[in-house]
Amino acid sequence: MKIENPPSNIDYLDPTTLAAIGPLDLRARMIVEGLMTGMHRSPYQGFSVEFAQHRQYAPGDDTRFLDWKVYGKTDKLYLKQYQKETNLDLLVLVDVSGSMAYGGRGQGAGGSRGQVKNEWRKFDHAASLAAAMTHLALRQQDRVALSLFDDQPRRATRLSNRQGHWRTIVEALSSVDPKPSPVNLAESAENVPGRTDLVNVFDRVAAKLTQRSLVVLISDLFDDTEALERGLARLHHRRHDVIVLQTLDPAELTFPFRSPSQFLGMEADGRLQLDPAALREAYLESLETHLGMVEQACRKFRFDYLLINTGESLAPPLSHFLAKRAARIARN
Amino acid sequence: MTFILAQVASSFIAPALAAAGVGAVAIPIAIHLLSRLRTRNEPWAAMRFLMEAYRRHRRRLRFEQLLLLLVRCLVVAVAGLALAGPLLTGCVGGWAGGLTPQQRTVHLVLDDTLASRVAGIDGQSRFERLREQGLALVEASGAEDRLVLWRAATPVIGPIEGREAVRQALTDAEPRYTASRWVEVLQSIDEQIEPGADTAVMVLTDASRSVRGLDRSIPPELAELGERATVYVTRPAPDAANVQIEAFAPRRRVVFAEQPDAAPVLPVELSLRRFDGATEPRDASVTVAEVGPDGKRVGLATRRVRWAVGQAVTRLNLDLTLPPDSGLDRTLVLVATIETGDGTDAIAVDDARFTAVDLRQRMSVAVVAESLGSSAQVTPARWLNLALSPRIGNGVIEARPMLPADVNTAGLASVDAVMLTRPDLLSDAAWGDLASFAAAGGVVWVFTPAGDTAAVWTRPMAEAFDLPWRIGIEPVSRSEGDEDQEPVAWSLDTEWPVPPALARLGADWESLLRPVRVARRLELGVEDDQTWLAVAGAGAGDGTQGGDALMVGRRAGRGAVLFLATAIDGDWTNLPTKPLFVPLVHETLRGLLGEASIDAAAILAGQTPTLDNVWLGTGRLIEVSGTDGDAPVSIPLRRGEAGMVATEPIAAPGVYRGDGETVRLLPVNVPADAGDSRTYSEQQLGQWFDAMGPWSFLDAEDTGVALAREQAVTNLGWPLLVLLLVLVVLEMVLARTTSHAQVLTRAGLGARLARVVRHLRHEPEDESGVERGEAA
Repeated sequence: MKIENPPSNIDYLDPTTLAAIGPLDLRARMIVEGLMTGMHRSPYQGFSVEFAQHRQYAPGDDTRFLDWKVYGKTDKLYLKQYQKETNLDLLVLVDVSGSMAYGGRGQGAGGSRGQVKNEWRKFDHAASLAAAMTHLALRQQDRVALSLFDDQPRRATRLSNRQGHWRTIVEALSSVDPKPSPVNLAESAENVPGRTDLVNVFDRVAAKLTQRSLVVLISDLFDDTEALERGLARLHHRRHDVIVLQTLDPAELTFPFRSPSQFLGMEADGRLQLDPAALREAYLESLETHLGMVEQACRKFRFDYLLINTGESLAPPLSHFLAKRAARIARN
Repeated sequence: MTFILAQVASSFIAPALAAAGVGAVAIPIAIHLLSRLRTRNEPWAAMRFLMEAYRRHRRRLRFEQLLLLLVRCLVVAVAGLALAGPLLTGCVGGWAGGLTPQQRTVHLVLDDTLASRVAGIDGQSRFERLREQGLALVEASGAEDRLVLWRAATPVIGPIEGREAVRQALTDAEPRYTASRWVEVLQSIDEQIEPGADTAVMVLTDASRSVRGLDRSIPPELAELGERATVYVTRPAPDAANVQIEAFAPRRRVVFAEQPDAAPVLPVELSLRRFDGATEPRDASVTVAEVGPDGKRVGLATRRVRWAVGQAVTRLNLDLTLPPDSGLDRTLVLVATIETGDGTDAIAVDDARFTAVDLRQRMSVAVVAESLGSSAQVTPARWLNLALSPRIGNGVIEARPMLPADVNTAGLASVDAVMLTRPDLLSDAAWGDLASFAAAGGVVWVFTPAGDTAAVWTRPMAEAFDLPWRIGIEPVSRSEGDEDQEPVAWSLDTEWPVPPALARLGADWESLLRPVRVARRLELGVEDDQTWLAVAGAGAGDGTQGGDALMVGRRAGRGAVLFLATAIDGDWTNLPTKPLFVPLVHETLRGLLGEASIDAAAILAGQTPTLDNVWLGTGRLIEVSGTDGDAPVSIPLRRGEAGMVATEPIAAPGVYRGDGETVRLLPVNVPADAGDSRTYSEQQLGQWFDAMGPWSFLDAEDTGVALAREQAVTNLGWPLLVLLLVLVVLEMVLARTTSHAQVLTRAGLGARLARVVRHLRHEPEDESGVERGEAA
């Protein structure tokens, strides 16, 4: 499906719109376009100032690095890139555990209540984010790798800054379809992605990263915050920079259910029959506590943290977040 | 089970709705269970937070769930019950209705009379049947009822108040020997009923014809008893045949020994009655016996009697020849008994009747005069002496002359009667002593003295004896005022009835009266029943019938006072010279003295007698010859103003002996009218009670139904609706606080409305918008 001459009043980064767009690469391109529209400089920046090459200016790039001489000669905008900057390694970790398969009812475009088809799942959101971010990085000639994980890394791409590498990443993202694991724990061990296990994942990821890298973790982080903290501590110890993007469904944030239901855990964590309205306050309180602890863990290592509501448009919070991050890096 | 269901159903205006309401309780329970069974599966990622919250609030959730379920069940049940209109009865119902339960007074009027002793075919007496019903009513009465028992036989016992007291009194009660007065008891109850008071009157009677007042129309006081109280009456008992000695009395209460050594002859009269409809002739045997101080009976005579068809009463006259050694100057007690021998006599107690006779050697009569006068002068006192002792030396009446100055207590102590020929010579004190003498049983006979002194003595006489007589102070003659004509005397009125005391002269009464003439007399204004002799053709001078009375008499205490309004003088009357004079004097004295001395013979069971002064020194009466064979009854006596007074009613008939040194016997009889064992029919009884308003017969099989209270009934519909409202509010509050209910916020409501509008406009729905609104 190809979008041509889209109406100007359509928010292409709205999940409803994105869900209607089938291929992930198209979604990612739209996200990147959207992001670049409101961004003046690249959110990614290397760690060295040794000149390496020129690259074409992209909207959002820092104009301080414009090579005015080249501009004077060729009337084209080029940025001067430095050796270390080009060697920025971006590792995007995308959670593909069963819980990421959750998508709120009626959130997907064209979907109706009670229908699972075309639901906008947390994974969809995470995949779109990952594709967009890797696209941005590759546009900056940065090396990018993708790792999909649940209780352990499931699939990974190598680090590369080839322009075709983005296709590999998109294929990797498209090839995975998180499935909720059955309620019975005994059935969940082999066939499907299971529970999120951040400690295990971070251990393996950290072992593969040979130089300082930017790690983007996209997950709902339905794991113990202690495990998250331990994983972040290892990355921090190896001087990696981490961006934690926690994707949560609006239903998870508001718990809007009112009819007595049987809630089935998506990571083989049991079932519960209850009147949800009666437990809404307690649930939100528990979730609030968890989110606070996650944010606290990130703040502890000075890592960036962003809670992403998969029901909201991608652009505003993400661009705002990236801009803030770029500004912070510039200040430092 | 069916009975219980019927009882429950009667507690509702619409029992079906109540059943539906109770049944509808199953609806919320079913919904609850179905909601658990048919819940939607909701895959959920953030399960760990849900689990955590659930573990923290599991108990609270269960409690809230059960509480809410309970409230919802109550809402449904109460709604059904409220629509069914439950009726709350009893004292609680009254309380619920805002009314203090009104105390009900239940009067039990028990007919414990002589007739209630009649036994039925099953051997159970009428009284036992009535008592059982009374006890059943006590058991059936409510705790808040005030029970009052009246025992209606004479004398009426009651009111006995209190549940236990009434129960005990009923248990201990035995039929008495007197007639019933429950009509009077009803009047007493009627007086006690306060307006608006809840009162029930249960008349437990056999409706025998011995009930006093039932043969007359209902007293006016009872005309509204049925309106003021709930009246129930037992159905009349079946008729029963009875035979009794209705009356037994000597013709003369005082018997004097006509000859010192001759055996006294005692003429007695018996009246025998049968209560059986008299449809067939009937025979019986009557025996008269003397009852000794030890209770032993010595037979004196036995006779056969026969009632013809249609004859209810037969009379028997007997001349009893007493044993020669029976002694004089004593009271002889006789008992007459009747036997039918056919077993149709329902009541045995009234088959015996007692009487007493005074056996006297002679009677002492004081003739008060200034002197007897010379033999040539016939004074009133001489006339009287001649009349009192016609046989010299052997008369039964001893005439004693007495001067007016000797008329005092000491002088009167040894005489039985006083004849005053000169009342004008008595002092006021002497009049007072005479009054006391009469009160103690003496006979005082006042003769008008010749002369115009009436103004002197009539007033103190009237005051001393409290006489209601109007006595003229001037003698009158028939031709008074016409100087030219010879005085014309009055003759005695032969049409005037014979006084009871002179009944033995009845046969010769007219011939005795005819020759008597009265020339002068004092006018008398007296009631007819006190007139013994009257003059004919005198006319009522003052317009009253008593204007022609010549000789009058009345009771004065236990004795009597007599007054002859003409002088024993030839200028006034020829009475002393006529044959009437002697029997008039003798029979008057004998008759009045007999009545006075044997007044106790008229004592009936149930009375509390006052015995004359001859019983002084007697501490108690001990039954020596009862009719029941029960243990001897002992009744204490106390000193009263007029003699010895029994401290309690003499309940049982029989012969009672004083415990003093002198042997004295007192016969006590059954009231004859109490033995009428016949009963009124239901129709007759109904007609009597109909005059007092609503009433009902008591159901003998289910007596307690009569006291089934017309219970206070309160419709709890409205209170339950209020309760329902409270429960609904409670349910809403609970559901909101526990977040179990669907709460439509303004946004949610707006979204829902918008969806409706879009639907009407055929626009596509914005599901997410609705969901967000509802979720909010």
